[in-house]
Amino acid sequence: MNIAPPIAPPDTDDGLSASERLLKSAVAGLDAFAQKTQAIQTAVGTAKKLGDENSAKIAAQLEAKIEAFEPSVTMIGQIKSGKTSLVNCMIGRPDLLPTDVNPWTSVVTSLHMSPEPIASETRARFCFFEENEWDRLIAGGGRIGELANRAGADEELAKIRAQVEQMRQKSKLRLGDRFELLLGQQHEYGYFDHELVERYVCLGDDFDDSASKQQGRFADITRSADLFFHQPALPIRLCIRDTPGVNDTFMMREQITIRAIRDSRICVVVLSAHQALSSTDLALVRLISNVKSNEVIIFVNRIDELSEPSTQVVQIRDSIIETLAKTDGPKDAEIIFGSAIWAQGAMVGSFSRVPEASKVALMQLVNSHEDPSLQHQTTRFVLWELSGMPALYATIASRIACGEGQELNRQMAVRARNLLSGAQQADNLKAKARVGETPVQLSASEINTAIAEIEGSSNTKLKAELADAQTAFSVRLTRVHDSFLARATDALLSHLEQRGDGEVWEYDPAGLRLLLRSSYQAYGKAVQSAFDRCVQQAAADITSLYQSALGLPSELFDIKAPPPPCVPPPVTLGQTIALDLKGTWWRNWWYKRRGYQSFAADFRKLIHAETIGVIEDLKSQHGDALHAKAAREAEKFVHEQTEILLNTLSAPLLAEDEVDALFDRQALIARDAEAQHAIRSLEAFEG
Amino acid sequence: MSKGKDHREVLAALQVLLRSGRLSADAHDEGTGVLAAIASKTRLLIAGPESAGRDALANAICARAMPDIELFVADTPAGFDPNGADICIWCTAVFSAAEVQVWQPLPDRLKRLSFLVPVADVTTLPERLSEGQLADLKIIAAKEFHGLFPIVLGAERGSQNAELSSILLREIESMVCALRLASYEEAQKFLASRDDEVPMPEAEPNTVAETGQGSDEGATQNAAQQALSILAEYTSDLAPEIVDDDPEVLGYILTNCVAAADALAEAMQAHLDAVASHELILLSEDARTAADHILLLSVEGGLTQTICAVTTLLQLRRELEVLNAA
Repeated sequence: MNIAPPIAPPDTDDGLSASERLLKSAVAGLDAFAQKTQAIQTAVGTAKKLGDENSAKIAAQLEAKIEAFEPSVTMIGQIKSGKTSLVNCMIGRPDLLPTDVNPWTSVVTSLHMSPEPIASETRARFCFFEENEWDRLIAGGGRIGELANRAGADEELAKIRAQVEQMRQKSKLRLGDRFELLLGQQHEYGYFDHELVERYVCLGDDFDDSASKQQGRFADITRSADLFFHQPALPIRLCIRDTPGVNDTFMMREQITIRAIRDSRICVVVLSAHQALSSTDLALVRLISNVKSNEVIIFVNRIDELSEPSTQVVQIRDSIIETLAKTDGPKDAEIIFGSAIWAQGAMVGSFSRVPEASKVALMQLVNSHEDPSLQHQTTRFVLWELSGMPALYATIASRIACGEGQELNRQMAVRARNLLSGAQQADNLKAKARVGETPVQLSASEINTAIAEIEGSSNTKLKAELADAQTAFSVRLTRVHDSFLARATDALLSHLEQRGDGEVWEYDPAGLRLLLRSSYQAYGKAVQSAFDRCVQQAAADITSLYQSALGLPSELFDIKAPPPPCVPPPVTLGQTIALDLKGTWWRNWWYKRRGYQSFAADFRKLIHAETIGVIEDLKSQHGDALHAKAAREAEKFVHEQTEILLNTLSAPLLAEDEVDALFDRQALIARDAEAQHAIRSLEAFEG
Repeated sequence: MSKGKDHREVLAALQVLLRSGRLSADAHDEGTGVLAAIASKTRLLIAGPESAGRDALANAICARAMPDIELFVADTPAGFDPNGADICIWCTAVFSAAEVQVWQPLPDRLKRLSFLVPVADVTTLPERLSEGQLADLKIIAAKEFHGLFPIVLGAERGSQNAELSSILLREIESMVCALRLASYEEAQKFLASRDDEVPMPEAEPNTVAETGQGSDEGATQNAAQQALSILAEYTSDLAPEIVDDDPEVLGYILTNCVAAADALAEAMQAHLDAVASHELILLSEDARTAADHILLLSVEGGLTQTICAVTTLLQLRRELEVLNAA
């Protein structure tokens, strides 16, 4: 291995720094996706050019939607897995987020990267807890306080309250007596740097000892940070979301993490090579077991600290696969090994920054690597390659391209295609009107009545079908809940009958989660089918209105229906409930009971109270949200198509001189060819 | 499956004949008895002193998911009631004098269809199932039972001793089959002897058009038939040689129970989407609840849970058979 100079001289004139160039090579997998999206943008541009003012407005909406597309990746992991260091490398700013000063992140930090310079003035936004969230922590001691209260664990509850009060006093000292007035607010800045970020996201154990008085000043009450910046190495926008570690004193972070996972399609679980997934990480496995397997990526960090990484990596992989299989975790999750320290070394171009032991591990890996050519590469190349960063980004790129990226492209292609067809028809009608024909064979009022009927019936039908699906879902959830409570109570009683109450009994709630997950999936399918039926019917009705208005043969014109909205994974099912915690409080609860009937009745009550929240969340956060999304998208589709229809049918009414300006025969042929070409370019996206 | 279909046809013809009002009172009574025999399940009673392997045998029969049987386990002598039993299996260690006293007064009809089952485990095997002991029991069995079938609990799978249990189970199965066949033949004979009185199908009251219920009934019956055939596909997988505590075997049975119950619930839902009759709604709900229950049991795992899962499926099958026969 050659030791390269610290920073290699730029060999191309792309204006990128060396670290940006490394990042660019890692995200190359996104280029193909960006090119596809570009093809749709071009087609939308054609529709904008060929259509009238109203069509141009619709085209502009499509452009804005494509422009705003920002896939995101949520990073979750064990505390001290080196997650934040990894995030810093993923965004090409190895020193941005604080990792070394009392390193535990307490806020969800979303890093929004844009390939174009940021136009908006806001570069950093920090949001504080809402009042109700804060109250839940202060008054109830968070989730863990709730649990202790239900279980009648008075001692634990008192301890939790004391800890909460201590935290509140610290916040008061940092922020002043009236700090609670800040709740619900947000602070925005036109810049950000390391120090500003520290002020909001870095929580000190004891702020008096911290290096700066400002450090961590707002961290107690900050719930989210959004940083926006230009990253020229990327071909598309991308957001990396850094979350707090999952285990905290009051179990407040779990909710925060679940929300962050819900906001992203792809989830990267960062583990430390020293403690790769074990049964102590069940909470972590629960969080990812409700995300689709192929949207979970496991990154085993800190392999640079292993004594013999080449052999240990194989063992760690086997152990992770075994734990996932045992705990009903995602089966086909991609597992990548690497080191944020090596990625950092490569980015800053300094081998001296890499600790000695880490260098030894690197050499061990290089010497036993299946690719012998690595030994002849520059240090920077080797550090980068073995840091796992290229593999991580390659997987992320492929997941985006096959997942939400593909969904966006399909949807936009359908909408652009319908817009182009409308523009083409409008040209035909204008040309016919020009030679004295009356192309539209229905009166304006007939058309308006027909449109109102299509919109009304589509809306009513979908609403009714979605309401049916929602009712069935709600009934199903109640049944599942009852079945689970009955079965768990039966199991408890049979334990008491066979073994008595001297032996602590435990019950695995995995069955409840399985049933809830399958109920939700069935509901998701029902919503998607209702959506499909509704939009396909509306597309057929609008097509037939075109045909009867214009006397067109059926094969000449049609409207494509968009794909249904995707069903987001039920990540809320990952939240910890009493039955997951097999600690002291459960033993206390157990030994406090007297008499089997008291066990059964109290147990049922406790587990009902613990699980009803999960069920309500599934119903409202997931079920209702999916319902609303399907209704909104269907309505938008139908409205957009009727708008295009009205524009098209009103084309022949244009003032004659405008038509003259638009058309001579050659121009008409050229416009038709252009529209045809654009439509053909979109065919590749049809699902 | 033609036999099954014939069985249903015979059952339906009997019901029609009995409802027609053309039978004399005696013939009606006789017909009702024949109908009860063909429509009801074979009642299998497992008796014998406690700790004589009664429960282990009952579990094995349950897990085998034998069709058309209703299983009772009786504490003997306290809870022993042979009335209504079609077949009795007497589990014993030595068939003591006290047991002989309980057994002897039973009617010959039941004795002819019953088994004497000396039960031993690996440790008590040499003493309980010695040649001398078996020879004595054989003499008693020849007089008092259909046959003698010793079994050994906890015998290693595939061993000769384990084979004893499956011989007994097969014997019970063929006995149940023979009884079903006998009642079917009797019903056919009864119908044939009253050939003139069997009404033509068009004479049936309440046609579909009049009541509107016919199509629902048809749909329910279709659904029940389909559900039964789905269950039949899985039944063979629910019948390992004998149930013991081997987690692999239990896991296998539970997985099959989950798959069977789920397939059943899905099929019922599909029928419900087509025709929403009251009966179908109830049936579909039952199927879904059973599937949920079985899934929870499968997550728990264990012998009791496996038996419970198989029993839940059997109960469901019974419900379906009743609907199908109605």
